[in-house]
Amino acid sequence: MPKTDPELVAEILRGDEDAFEEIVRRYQRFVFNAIYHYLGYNSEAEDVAQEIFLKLYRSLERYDQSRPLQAWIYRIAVNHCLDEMRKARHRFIRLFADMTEEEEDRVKYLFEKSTKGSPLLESEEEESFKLLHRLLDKLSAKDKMTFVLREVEGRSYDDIATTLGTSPTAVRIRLSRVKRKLLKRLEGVLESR
Amino acid sequence: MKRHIDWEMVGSEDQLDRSHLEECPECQKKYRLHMFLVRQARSARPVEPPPFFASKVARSIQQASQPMWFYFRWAAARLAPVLALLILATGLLIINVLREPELPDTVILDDSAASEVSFENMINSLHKARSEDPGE
Repeated sequence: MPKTDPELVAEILRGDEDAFEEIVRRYQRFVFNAIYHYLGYNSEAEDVAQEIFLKLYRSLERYDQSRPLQAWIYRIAVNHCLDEMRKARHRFIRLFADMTEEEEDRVKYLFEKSTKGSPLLESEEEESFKLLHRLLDKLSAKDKMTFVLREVEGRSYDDIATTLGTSPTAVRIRLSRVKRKLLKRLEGVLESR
Repeated sequence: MKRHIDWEMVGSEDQLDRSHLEECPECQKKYRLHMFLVRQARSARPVEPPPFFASKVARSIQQASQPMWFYFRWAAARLAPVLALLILATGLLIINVLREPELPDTVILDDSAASEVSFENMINSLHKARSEDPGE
């Protein structure tokens, strides 16, 4: 019978590193998907995931075992990705680069197809998400995270507020503002040339 | 329409005032844009972690929990050949410097040749000085 999360955590705290490998195996998919949602397709996803698990390992002594481990991992992942977004902004990675003409053409094509009600192919959905991240890249880290938590992951306002350390009303206001910005940007892309 | 398209609210069509939407081209356009954005957000595909990722993390945890002396030993093992090469090169340089022949500080030209300073005279004087040097 597989061990429960609290059992594995207890073993890790006694110095059993194999137990941690089991935790990584259980939650690696969850962490990779979170990184993908927050940072988009990222060539550094593996490094980011590794850093998240190292942070988890170091923080296990502070983890309240009466709460689900996934919530703890989720919190670490969100905070780490927020830091990554801020760092990326600091390093000016892509952030001030507008979409290329080719990307704009793809957005137009996907928009036309989508508004006509034609279902997108799997590869087009992937591309669509990638392009959405190009729109999101110009937002602040917190704006981007708020949008992703609500619209990509479908989290509740209360949940987002707890994660980002703010109130549900502030989340609503921020999200509304973010969407206006995104719509304006999208409109700009669709009307270019 | 602002009342209806309060952008954080719209997620499905039933939240909209359909009759207004049918009449207002501006709102139709905004609604289409919004729905496209929402669809884009929901088009995220599940991703798979790379193979052996868990083992890799476990290895890096093991490395991170090694005691300090482990790193000194690790660094020493890697630096030893470089240090040996440095010592060898320094030794060779010192030997080379010590083996270089010493020339007399000054060479006194023959009085007879003093009036006629030429390359030939200088060489002859040098040979003469060397043969008189008791150290040679």
